[in-house]
Amino acid sequence: MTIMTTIPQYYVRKDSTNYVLVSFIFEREGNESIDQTPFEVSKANGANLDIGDDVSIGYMSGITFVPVFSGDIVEKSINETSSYVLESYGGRLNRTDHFSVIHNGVSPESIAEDIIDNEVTTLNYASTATSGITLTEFVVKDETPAEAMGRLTKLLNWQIRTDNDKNFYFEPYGETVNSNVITIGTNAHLVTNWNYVPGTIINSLTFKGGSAVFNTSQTFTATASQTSFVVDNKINGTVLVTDNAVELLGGVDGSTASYDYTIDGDNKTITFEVGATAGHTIIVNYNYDVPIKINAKNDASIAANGTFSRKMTEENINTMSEARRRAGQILDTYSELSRTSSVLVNYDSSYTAGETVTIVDSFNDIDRQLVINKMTMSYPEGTKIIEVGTPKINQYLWQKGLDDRLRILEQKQDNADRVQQYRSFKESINIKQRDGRIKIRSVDKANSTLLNSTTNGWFGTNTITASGKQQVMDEDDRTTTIYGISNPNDIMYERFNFTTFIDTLASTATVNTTLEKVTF
Amino acid sequence: MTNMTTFLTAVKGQIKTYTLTKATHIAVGTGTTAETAADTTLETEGVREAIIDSSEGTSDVVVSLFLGSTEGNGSDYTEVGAFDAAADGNMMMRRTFPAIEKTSAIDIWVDIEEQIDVTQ
Repeated sequence: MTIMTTIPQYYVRKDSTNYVLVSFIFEREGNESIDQTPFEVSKANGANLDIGDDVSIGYMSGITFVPVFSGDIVEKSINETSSYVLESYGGRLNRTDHFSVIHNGVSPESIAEDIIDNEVTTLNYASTATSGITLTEFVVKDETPAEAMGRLTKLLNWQIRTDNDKNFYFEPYGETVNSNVITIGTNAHLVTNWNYVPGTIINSLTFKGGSAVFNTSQTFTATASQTSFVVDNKINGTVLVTDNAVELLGGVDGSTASYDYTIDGDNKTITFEVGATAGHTIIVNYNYDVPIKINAKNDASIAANGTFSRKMTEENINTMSEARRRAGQILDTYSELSRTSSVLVNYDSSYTAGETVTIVDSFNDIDRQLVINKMTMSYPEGTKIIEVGTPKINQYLWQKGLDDRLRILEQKQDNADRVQQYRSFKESINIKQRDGRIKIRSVDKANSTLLNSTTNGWFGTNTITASGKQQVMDEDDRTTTIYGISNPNDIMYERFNFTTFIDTLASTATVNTTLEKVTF
Repeated sequence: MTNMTTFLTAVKGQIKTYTLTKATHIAVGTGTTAETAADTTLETEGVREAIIDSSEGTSDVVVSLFLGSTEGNGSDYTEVGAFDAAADGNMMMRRTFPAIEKTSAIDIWVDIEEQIDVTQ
């Protein structure tokens, strides 16, 4: 175990002046909340630090200050010591004016970049992650940047974070992979048991987006006195009805005005006041909503764990392809049984919230990549604890905590009778590129007997001499052509990247050693 | 999903012959016998449609089947396969799955993703 680390003296640095820190507890949790760090300095230093100050907490390495985290002071209290709360730069999204804007046909990440570039100009949008999703319309009306960004993070279930250089990132959980493997018992140990949380599995997902409006016509041949004409889809709005090409006048049930028919949209029905004439052609032209509604399942996960269903509504998604992509991402992430634990790591290690890290715990048969959902550093105790597991599910999206009234509203919005069943099946082809020659032997001339003297080599009595190049034992002027090789130990794979074994006399093959192709 | 032996043989044969044809159609059927690499057809093919969408990533290819409200109704589909022809042809991969009842109120979209892993 190498958990023990020398803890340096920490300071709060404002401009270029350091103030000695008494204590701090630094917690970072992705977008679960803005990171807030309580810290404490002496009463005397309290006069030098105020709310709104941009400061860093870190230590000195020689003459260089090493910031561990930076942000703005948002709370201050003084008595025997001076206590503060430092908020990461992400807090600036809250401390900005409301704004209004409408985005059309752009990606969520493009909207996020626009928000940072125009509304929070002290931060720099530095993320390069792409979602592959295009929003037809995204309306911001009198919201803070934090509120608008909050909706975007819920839409994609992404995280936001800022770094010490005021860079702002909007990216999937675990986008950054920390390559330093955590091995329990070697460079870390468990603080809590591994908790298996079946409630976090999602392997049957109903995803509802917005609706697309389509127009269609349906033609009926009336039977005698037929009054009811049922179309295929729920009717959205008004309709145009013709009887043998004569437009009819529509009305509302209960109206005293004269009319030819009424519309019952939910029941897809046009009801004539007077029965139609047999054989007449009745054409109903109407609009209908095609709901963006997908049911996606991971059958393998259902077979292994049982069914864990969730319903998700996001009105900003209004094409089936975007909904399928989103549903696929969710199932890929949450179809497996989640496990979580808290792990004590080296205080000076680089692990931070939002990263993906490989954890090896041979005692518990775990060797997998997990996401760091929370990181806590305590000073002067010198402990660093990370919580690892499956990325947290956005509480709002998954309908948890919604009251009954909101649930009823959700159901009302979701009265469409069309659904797309979506399944995704995966298979892989593994292609291994091998070196053509696994083993090549060469001769060390210093330890060998060579018979390639231009005056012929001597090997015992010189009996027969070949044509000035070799001393051939027992044979004169022998010629040798290699037609192939035996390959008993799998040391040779033909990749056509060399021609040593190509029989140029017997074969008409043309070998391209650059492209590793052979043609006949 | 299971890759058919004939398909994998064709992939290997590309080095010499370059005869492998692309997947052009996806079919669904009602067979329930688990797939094996030796399968050459769906067990009970129902509907075969041209691939409606395809995409190619860094190391994967996705081809898609769509059955709309008027297509293939009245069956509980339990198997899917990718083919290189509108009829008969070579089946490249097959998979069985829990039944999806196809009605006019249900569209079906199936993605078949082939991950190509190349290691040195």
